[in-house]
Amino acid sequence: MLTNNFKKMLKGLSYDTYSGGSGNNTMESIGRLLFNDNRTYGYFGGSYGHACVEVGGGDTAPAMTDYNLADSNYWRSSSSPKLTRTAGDVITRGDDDLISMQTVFTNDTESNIIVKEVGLYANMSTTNEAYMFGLFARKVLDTPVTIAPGETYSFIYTIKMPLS
Amino acid sequence: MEKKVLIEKDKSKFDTMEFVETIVITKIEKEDKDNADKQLQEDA
Repeated sequence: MLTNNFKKMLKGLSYDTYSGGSGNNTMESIGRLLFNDNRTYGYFGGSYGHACVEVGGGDTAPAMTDYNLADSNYWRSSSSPKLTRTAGDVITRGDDDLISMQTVFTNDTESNIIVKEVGLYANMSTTNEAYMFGLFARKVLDTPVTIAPGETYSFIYTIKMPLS
Repeated sequence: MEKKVLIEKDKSKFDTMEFVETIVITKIEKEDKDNADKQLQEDA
């Protein structure tokens, strides 16, 4: 489900510059950068407009008012992440894809990790992924995925706006 | 060899605009991961 943050990002598409327009809301600015400009990596440490996939263990039903995953215990941005990001975040676009985001995680713990929810976050910090709190899409998986110790999984979250 | 384990879809609608969300989850075998890690190091 796309959240209220996504609506704010869409609003930002009409801006000429990331800080322009009448709103100058952070999510609006990120929307302009993420969807309009030629960003190819969800790289942290750069500027606004990057994004990444996060996964969690919560299974409460998604709502437009969601601003975080239900369970952030797996986050790489938590103080003790259970999943390690083992490849760069990659953004691609094509045809009617608005955005497609891929992140690869490895379970470096000694226990199984059960992924029940997947979210897309926008980076709202220029320097620290721990401040990446702009959730704009969230899906609770119908079928949870168990990642065993040492296993690596790729998660690709694509948002399409079908053209008719 | 990659093993696709899950594909799920969802829909959101704002007024007349409809968006389709697709999540594809793929298991990556160790050999492929090692190659990806090597490529990351070369790109760094």
